Amino acid sequence: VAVARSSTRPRYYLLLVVLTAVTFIAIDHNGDSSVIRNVRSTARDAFLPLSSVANSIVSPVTNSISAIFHYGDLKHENAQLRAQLQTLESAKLQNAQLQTNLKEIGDLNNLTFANNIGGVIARVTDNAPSNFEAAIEINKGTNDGIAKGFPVIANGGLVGRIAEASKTRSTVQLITDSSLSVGVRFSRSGEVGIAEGNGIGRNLHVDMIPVDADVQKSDALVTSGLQNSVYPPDIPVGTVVRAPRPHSGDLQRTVSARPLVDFSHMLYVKVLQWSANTQ
Amino acid sequence: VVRQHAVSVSKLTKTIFVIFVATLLQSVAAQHVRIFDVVPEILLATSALIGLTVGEREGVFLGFICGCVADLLFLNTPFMLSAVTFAFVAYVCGLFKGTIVHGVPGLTFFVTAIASMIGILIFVTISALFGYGEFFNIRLPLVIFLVGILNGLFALILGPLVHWALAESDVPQLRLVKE
Repeated sequence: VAVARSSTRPRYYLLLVVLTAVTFIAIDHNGDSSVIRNVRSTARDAFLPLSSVANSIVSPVTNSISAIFHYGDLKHENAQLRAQLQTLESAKLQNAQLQTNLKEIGDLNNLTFANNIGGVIARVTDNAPSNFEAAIEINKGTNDGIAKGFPVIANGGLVGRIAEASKTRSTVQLITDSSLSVGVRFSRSGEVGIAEGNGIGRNLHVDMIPVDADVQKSDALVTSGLQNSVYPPDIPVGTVVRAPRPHSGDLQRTVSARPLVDFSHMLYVKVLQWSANTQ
Repeated sequence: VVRQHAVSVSKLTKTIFVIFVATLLQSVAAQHVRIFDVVPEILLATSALIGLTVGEREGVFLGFICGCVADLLFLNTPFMLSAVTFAFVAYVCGLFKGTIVHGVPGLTFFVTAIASMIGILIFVTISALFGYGEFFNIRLPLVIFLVGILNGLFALILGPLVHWALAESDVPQLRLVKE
């Protein structure tokens, strides 16, 4: 009896854990629980300094390892940098990185789109530590007037929307995330469709386009801004890279589009303080 | 009783330390260890190692805690999705407690890699049940494979740490037995 009890007890523990988890998952999934959101946001705020310290400690090590693996490239790059340094010294230029940053911030303040909407400029701090979400972390949060759902743009166009915002940082869900959809309009023809993310580093999948729509390769896509849209209108989203002809019997057309923003090289983004409800 | 209590406090402190180290490693690895945009799931690897070290009963709870930490700090999917996955992985690994020979790096690598691959598959399956079916995509096999390999490699570092923190010193460790 004792043996039977000790062997079945862990199964009860597992059952208890599963039931607890399923309850919380259901609450969070259906109710969008603010308690869980607050706990998450507080935990992330608390962990951020520790994570930063750990990263700063590890960075020299990983840089050294990277240097070992890329010795040939580094040797070549080193020679180039020496030449570049001499040029820079003779010209007495200012810090190039600082100038790049300033230019990017300046460009963000003078965008040709969404320039009548208030926004907060934030620095991209991290890639999201997950294999299933296309997301980035930025260094501004609710203390700076950012809220969940706000659209995020960069110099090229639409980046995504705020998925989570704690006091000092936020997570931006990129438009390439497979759970994100964007209402779009084709600039040339005016046709509308829905662009959906296909995962990290992959093109957008645009569907719900009328079957007789005039859509061609290289057409530009902008946000449609239709009623109750999550994004303001006329923000550039991408360019059509593949527009196959519909087959007979198809009820809609489907095309592929490449996002305009290079997500891997963003330094700064602008969070638009805009939501559909307030418009 | 006092001695037992002292031992359990020490074990608790060590356990917290292990989970803390794994959390920091996850944060660091996410920024510095990326292969084809895939990052290791250190807390999943830790759950598997804990299960192998302490068995299914304690493993299920510690795996659950590791998953909660991952849910809180690193993910935006519904809370406790990872917790239930990691608990299950730790439970299953716990069933094999005693069959793993500590100090055999190849075996630690292999078992953690397989457990991590299964863990990712479970996570994606449970996610699909809650409406996150998009995780099943063409990239999934690559993610499963690379997470398995990376977790296996990290297990070589974490294995001794978990063993130091959680292995029962008065219970003889398994040895390769000649039949």
